Amino acid sequence: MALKDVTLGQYVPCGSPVHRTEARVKLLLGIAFSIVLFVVDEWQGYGVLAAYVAAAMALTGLPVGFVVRGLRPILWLVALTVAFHALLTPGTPVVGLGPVQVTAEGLETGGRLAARLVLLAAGVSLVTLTTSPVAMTDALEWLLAPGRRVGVPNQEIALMMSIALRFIPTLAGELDRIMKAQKARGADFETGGPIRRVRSLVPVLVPLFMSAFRRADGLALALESRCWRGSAGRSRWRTRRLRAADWAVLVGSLTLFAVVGWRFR
Amino acid sequence: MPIVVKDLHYTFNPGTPWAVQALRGVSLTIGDGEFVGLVGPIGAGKSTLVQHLNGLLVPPPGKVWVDGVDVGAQGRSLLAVRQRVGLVFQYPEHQLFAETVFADVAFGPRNLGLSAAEVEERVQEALALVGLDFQAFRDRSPFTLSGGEQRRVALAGVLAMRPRYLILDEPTAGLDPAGRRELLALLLRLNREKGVAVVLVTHHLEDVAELAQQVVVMAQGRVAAAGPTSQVLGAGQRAALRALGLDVPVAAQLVDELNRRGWQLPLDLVRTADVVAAVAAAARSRAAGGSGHGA
Repeated sequence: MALKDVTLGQYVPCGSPVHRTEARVKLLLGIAFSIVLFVVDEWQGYGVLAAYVAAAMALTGLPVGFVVRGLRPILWLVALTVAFHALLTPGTPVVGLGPVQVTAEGLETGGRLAARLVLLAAGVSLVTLTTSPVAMTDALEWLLAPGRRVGVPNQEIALMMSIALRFIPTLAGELDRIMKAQKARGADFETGGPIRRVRSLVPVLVPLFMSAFRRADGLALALESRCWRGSAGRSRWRTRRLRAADWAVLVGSLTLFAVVGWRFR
Repeated sequence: MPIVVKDLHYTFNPGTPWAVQALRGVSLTIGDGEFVGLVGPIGAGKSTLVQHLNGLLVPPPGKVWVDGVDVGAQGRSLLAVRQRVGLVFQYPEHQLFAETVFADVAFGPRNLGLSAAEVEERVQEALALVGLDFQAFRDRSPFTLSGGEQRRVALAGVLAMRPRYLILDEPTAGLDPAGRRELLALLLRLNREKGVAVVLVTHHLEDVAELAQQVVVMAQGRVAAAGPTSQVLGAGQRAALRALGLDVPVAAQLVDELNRRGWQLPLDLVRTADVVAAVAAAARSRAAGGSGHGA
């Protein structure tokens, strides 16, 4: 099933300098990077940001092919964006057939957007590839903490996120098992028209939902039997501190982003 | 005709940081009508192996043959292989989905494209095999049944395919002792009366010793030992089995313990009934001869 092929953002533990960087730093930098990406409007700017991402990727020590494969799912979106812009932007025609004209301006804008999309996906996956889900939810909880005063349940959101993340591989495994069990009884998920294919999923979805509910029940019991009474006032087993290197990465990167954003706006 | 596996390799997630070699050159033969125990610790590759036998994982051509058919060379038409080789996963009741017991058991036969009359006949037959009354159960929802009944319905769903080979992955996990006995008795009956070849995948050498004629021991993606049950579970192998984290049957342990105390019981006895008979005979001759060392 395609689920297992989605590497976009799946955490790969390696222990590189990028992995060791505090999750809060990476989260903040990810957000800052995304903002700068949409401020920058010149090719040199994209060049600098691409070099930044490429350098960081190189530091992670992850196989290049693996990272690139993870970006594949967004390629059709990029292709669509470029095509629409190329065809629909008025300007100097480059090639064309009657009313359908590819314009130079269209290619230019389309290319810029494509660069943004690819860099955005690369930057975000750089964060998620190198940050464990636990560290990520902790960082998110911290980021949302100011919202607590206006009623944002940041700790509950973090817990929900970590549980959801925890269940993705479990349910993916379960799905695989159920599909195999039904295939063993001659089920066919690959042929036939759309209606047939959707109907062929019933023998998979019913057991999958049953199992999800069963697991949710079990998890609720396990939480309660360990005296969980909501997240308020919980202390932490492992407190995460920013080290000197984290500060250096944070300040250095933010400075770079600011310069790039100012210079190539 | 048998199932033949020749030098089968398999790697999960090849080319990624999670690549795991699950099978490293497995070769074995499962004869027609045999009862085979497939044992080994967790991670030995048992589940990966059995999924190759009915094409859930498609082997490379020339590696797995079922009744003379090369599983890897079938392209997409694996239905015939899946009909011949029935696979019952762990906790098969978790795969029940239909509104009635009848519809769930009929799922397989319907996928085979059988007529309504034939489907009904097969459902009746399968439910009778697992000991559930057709009239009483046909219209009940599988989700209202007890755990043991659910498992039998799930098993019936595979039996309704009329497989020549039946592979079961830990079929007794989570059953109470009575349910476990009944299920194992059913497997034995299928094997002896219907001539269905049974492959019992398990960590419990106890069950294997009682039921299987042949045993295949897997460890780290390879076949560590294979042969008749009395040989593979025989005295020479027991230390190796323990080293793999498997428990030698209690009856065999009794033989070892008695021999350590001076008895001379044959070492290839692994079934409880055989050991009891041998011990009784030895005890009688000890009492008669009074020598203290019966055999």
